[in-house]
Amino acid sequence: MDRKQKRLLFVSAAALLVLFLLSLLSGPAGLINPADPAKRSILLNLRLPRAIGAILAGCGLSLSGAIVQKVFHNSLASANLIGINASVGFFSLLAGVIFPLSFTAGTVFGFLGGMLCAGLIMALVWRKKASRLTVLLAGMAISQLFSAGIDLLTILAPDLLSGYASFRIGSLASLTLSKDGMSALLICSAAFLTFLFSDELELFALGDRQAQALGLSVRKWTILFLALASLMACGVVSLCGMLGFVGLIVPAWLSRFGFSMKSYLAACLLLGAALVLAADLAGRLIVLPWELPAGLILSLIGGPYFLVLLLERSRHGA
Amino acid sequence: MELEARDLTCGYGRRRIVEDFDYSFEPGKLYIILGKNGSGKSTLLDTLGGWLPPIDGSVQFDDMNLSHLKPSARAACTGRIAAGLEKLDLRVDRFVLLGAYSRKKGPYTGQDEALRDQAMEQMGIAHLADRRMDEISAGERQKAAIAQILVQNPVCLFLDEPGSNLDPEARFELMDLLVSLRAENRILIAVLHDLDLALRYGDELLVLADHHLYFHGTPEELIDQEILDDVFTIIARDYDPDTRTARFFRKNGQRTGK
Repeated sequence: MDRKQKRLLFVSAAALLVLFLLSLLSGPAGLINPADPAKRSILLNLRLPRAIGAILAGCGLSLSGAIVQKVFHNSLASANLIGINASVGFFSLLAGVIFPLSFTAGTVFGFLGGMLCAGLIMALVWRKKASRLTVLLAGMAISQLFSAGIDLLTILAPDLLSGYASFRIGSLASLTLSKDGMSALLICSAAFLTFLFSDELELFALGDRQAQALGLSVRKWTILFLALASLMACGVVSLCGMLGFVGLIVPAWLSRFGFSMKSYLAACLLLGAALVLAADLAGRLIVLPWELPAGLILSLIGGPYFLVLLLERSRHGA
Repeated sequence: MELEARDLTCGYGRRRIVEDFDYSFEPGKLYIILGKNGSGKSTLLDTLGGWLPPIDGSVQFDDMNLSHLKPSARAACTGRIAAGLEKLDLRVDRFVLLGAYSRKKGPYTGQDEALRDQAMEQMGIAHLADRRMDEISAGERQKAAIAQILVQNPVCLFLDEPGSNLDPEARFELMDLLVSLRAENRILIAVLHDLDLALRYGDELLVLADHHLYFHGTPEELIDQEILDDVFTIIARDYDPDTRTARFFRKNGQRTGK
């Protein structure tokens, strides 16, 4: 690692720590002195689960985005953009309608939904030799379809889904530690496996044919990595709805520093977590005493940045 | 140790691109596949390497069916010199090390790193170890790709259009390097566009036309049978068997050399 990369990792880690403390100590109820026993329950029951949730969501989103970008050789892709998040969202809501009391059903359905979408995109790439642009457009179509499905469900079963008002935008309000725990299990185990298999993920950068010639079972590993991305998307969606853009902009921006694969993944975790924390904190503080959902803030930052990425690419003729 | 294609038909899905290809490749030779654009050279190359399953027939190496092998086992038989690396942001030493992937269990070992250092030394790129692939010249990238395949150490080496973006000197250097690899009892198979380099360096030339193997033989036989005229409508004059060079003219074109 050269000095620039080390500095970047260090700054991200420091930012993450500061933002974590800030989001514990500040919010609509004002600055909290942790020594004050009366305010301690706000700290422990509202702000702590929320801050942990933001970190988990940021890690899951940026890591799943990094996987999707590497596997499809496409720095404009993310789990969100190729429709995985919308698909996970639709299927977990569907499970919420069919089995209103089961959290596990939502997770299982969501994961299968994510794999369904990933499978459709894989088929498009392998069978039809789809270009990067086609993949993005197809992902958008799938996204639209499942978003419409989500709207349909919220109209058809408004009572069962009353808690899902900000599901489509993505919000970290009303998290609990036990909800965090379930998602943490999914996201952390998938993240651990991603690090474990980082040598395999690295080979994808050489192109599918070369990776295969070097001895990688490209199909097997593609499926495995997309399963990991779906698992993480699933954990995130069940935590905070369809938070956008983190999975796109964090891995895309970090890929210009020439990190080794493991440091790249670590940087994704740190920066992704910091970004979601920052967005959530900003949403809570900008229009006091009201609250803007984190997803809104992220879309406001992420949309323009996505345009910048697109323009940069068209300038390079890609 | 032969690479043998038996009644091979290759292509994608139902699209048959090369049909009835029957040929044995022997160690210690550089084979060059020629053909017009779209004649299926790259498809044939990918099928011979065992990476694209054949539509019909088989590719055998040492009596093993290549497309039935696991990728990691196949990597000991066939390897491919990487191309299209202009935008790769890996460090050069890391890129070369990836050649050891098929043998590793767990992390890359010190032995893998020793092999890498040796290969980089052999290719004369040891001083580039901490540079990034997208920062070095096309010629240096090509050498890094060869160093990678030396670490992988397969018996059959495949190249698709090597040197198409190299400057003239680097092209000759590359071909000299390839020819020197023959000595280690390897089978080298390259797809080439450049007729001049093909004549100079190829031990056996294979010409694809009309979905079939149209010709195979030495450069001299290629000239004698006027294959270039039939397939490329190119005429070769004044062939010199010692340097294996000729002057090329377009048939019926201007500047026909008369």
